[in-house]
Amino acid sequence: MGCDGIAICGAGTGADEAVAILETRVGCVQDVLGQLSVGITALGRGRAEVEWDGLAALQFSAAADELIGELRNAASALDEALRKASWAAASISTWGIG
Amino acid sequence: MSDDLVMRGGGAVTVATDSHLHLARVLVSLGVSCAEWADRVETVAQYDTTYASQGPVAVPGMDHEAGRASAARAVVRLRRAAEDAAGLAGKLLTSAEAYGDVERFVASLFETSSAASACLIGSSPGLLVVGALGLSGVVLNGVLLRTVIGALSGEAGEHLDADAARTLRGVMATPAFADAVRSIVSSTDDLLVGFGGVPALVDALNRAGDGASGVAFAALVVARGAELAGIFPGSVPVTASAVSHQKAEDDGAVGPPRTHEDLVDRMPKGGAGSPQIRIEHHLDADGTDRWIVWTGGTIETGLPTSSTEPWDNQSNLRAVAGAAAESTAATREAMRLAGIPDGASVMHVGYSQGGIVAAAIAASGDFDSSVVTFGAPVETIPFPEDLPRTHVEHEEDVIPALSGTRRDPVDGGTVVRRSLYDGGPPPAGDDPLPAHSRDRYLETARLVDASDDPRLHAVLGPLTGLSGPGESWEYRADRVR
Repeated sequence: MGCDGIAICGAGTGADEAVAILETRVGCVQDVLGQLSVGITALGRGRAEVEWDGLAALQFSAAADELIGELRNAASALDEALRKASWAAASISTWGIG
Repeated sequence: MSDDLVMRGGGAVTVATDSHLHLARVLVSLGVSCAEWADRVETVAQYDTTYASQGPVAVPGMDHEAGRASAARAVVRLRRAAEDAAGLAGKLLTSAEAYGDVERFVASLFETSSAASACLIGSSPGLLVVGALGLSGVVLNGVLLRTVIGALSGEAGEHLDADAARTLRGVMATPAFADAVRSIVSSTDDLLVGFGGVPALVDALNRAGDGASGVAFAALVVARGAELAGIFPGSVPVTASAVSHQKAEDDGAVGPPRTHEDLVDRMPKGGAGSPQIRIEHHLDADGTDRWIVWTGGTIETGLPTSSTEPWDNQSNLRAVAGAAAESTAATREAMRLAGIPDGASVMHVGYSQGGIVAAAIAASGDFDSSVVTFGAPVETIPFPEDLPRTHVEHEEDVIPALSGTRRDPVDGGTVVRRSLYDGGPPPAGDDPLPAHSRDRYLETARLVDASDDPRLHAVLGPLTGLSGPGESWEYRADRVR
C-alpha cells in the first residue's frame, strides 16, 4: 500500500489492516520528515552562501527566519505523528487485537 | 544617486551573483515540495484507525488517533511554509538584490509566452502595429529604432525637434526603457521566425542545434540582411598598427593598473581616427608575463559609411551575433603585434562595443583570461563557467540591454548594477545616452573600488603582485579598402 494509495480503515476493518495503514502512515511521515530535513539544510546552506547587507537583506533575513521556524514546527508535528503512529502500530501488533 | 555599494533593495548599486539565484531556486523548490508533502501527509492522515472489526482499539497508553492530529497540524504548517517560501522567493526576486541573475530567471519563466507573442506578431505585421500602439509603442519603438540603427548620434538627433528629443532622452534614461529593450531584443529571433515562416524556423532550429543564442541569431540575420541590402559594407580585412609604444625603462612609463578606476581611466577615449586598443605588459613577482588589453567603445555611431573605421555598428551587430566582427579581428591582430602568445595570462577590459570584443576573446579559451566590461551587451557571449568576469552596468543604460537576456544563465561572474538617477530624470545635457557615458562608468568604478565586498575585487586578482613600470602600446586599426 503506497503513501498515496491507502485504503480506508473504519468500522468492520480488521486490526491487521489497521496496522498496515498505520505502517503506511509511518513510512510516509518518515519519508516526508527526511526530505523536510534535507530542505531545511539546503535553505540554511543557500542563505549562508549569500553575503548581503542593507535593509532589504535584513527584511529578507527576518522572513527567512520565520519560514525556518514554520518548517521546524512542521517537522516537530511530523515527528510527533511519527511517534504516535509507530506506537499505535506496535501496540496493536503486540496486543494482538484483530 | 547614492555612493552606497552594498546590496540593497532600494539602494543605488546592485550586485548580482549566482548565490542569490541559487537561493531563490532553493526557495521555489522548497515551496513546491512543502505543498506536495502536505498533500501526501494529509492523504495518509485522513484514515481513521480508531475502530477495528471488534470495536474501538483499546490498547493501554495508545493514542487512539494514532498521530492523526499531529499529522494534520504538520499539514497546516507545511501549507503555510509553502506559501512563505514562494512569497520569500518572490521577495528575493523583486528586491533587486539579485537583479542581474533574477532578470534572467524571471525572464525564463515568461519566455514561452513572450516567444509565442513575438511569433504571432511576426506572422501578422498588422498586429505589430496594433501591439506597438497599444503599448505606447510609438515612443518606445521610435526610440528603439533610433537606438538600433545607430541613430543615437547627434547627426540623427538633428532630425528631431527639441521637445521630442528631450522626451526621448528622458524615456531612454529610465530602467524601464532598458528593460523593455532587453525584453524586445530577447524576442527578436521569434519575431524573425514569425516573419520568415517555416524556412526561418528551420534555420532557427539549425542554429539552435549549433548552440547559438536566439538574440545572436537575430543579430546575424539583421547583419546579413543589411549587408545584402548594401547598408553594411560586409566583412573586409583590417590592419592594426601601434601609434604609441612606451617601454618599461622609458621616462613616464606607467605602473600596473590597480583598481577598477584605473581600468576605466586607461580605456581608449574614442574619437575619429584615434586608437581603439591599448595593451600593457607587466611582470609579477615571479617574473610571469601579465597582459592587459583594453578595447574602447563604438566610434562611428551612425550607419556605416565608406570610412575605414571598424568600430562601427556593423561590428556591433556582428559582435553581438558572435560572428567575425572587424573590431574583434583588429584587437586580436594588435595582441599578436604586441607579442601576446596563445595561453598567456590576459585581462581583457572593454567599454561598450569594446566590452563585447573583450568578452568574446576572453570566452574563446585562447588565453588564460579574465574579463571586466563596462556598459557592454555581452549576453550572447558563451562564457565558460570558470572564466573570472565582472560586468558593470547602469540600470538606465540601454546599451547592455541590446544583447537581450541570456536564455541559459552561466554560473560564475559578477554583475554590478548601479542606478544613476533613482527614478528621476537624467541631468540636462545633449548626450542622448547619459547613462552610457564613460565618465559615469568612471564614477561607478570608483564606487566599486571603495566597496569592501570581496566579490567585486576577485576579478582584479591577476593585477596583484605586479610591480614597477610596464610596457604599453596603443593601436589604431582600420579596414583595408
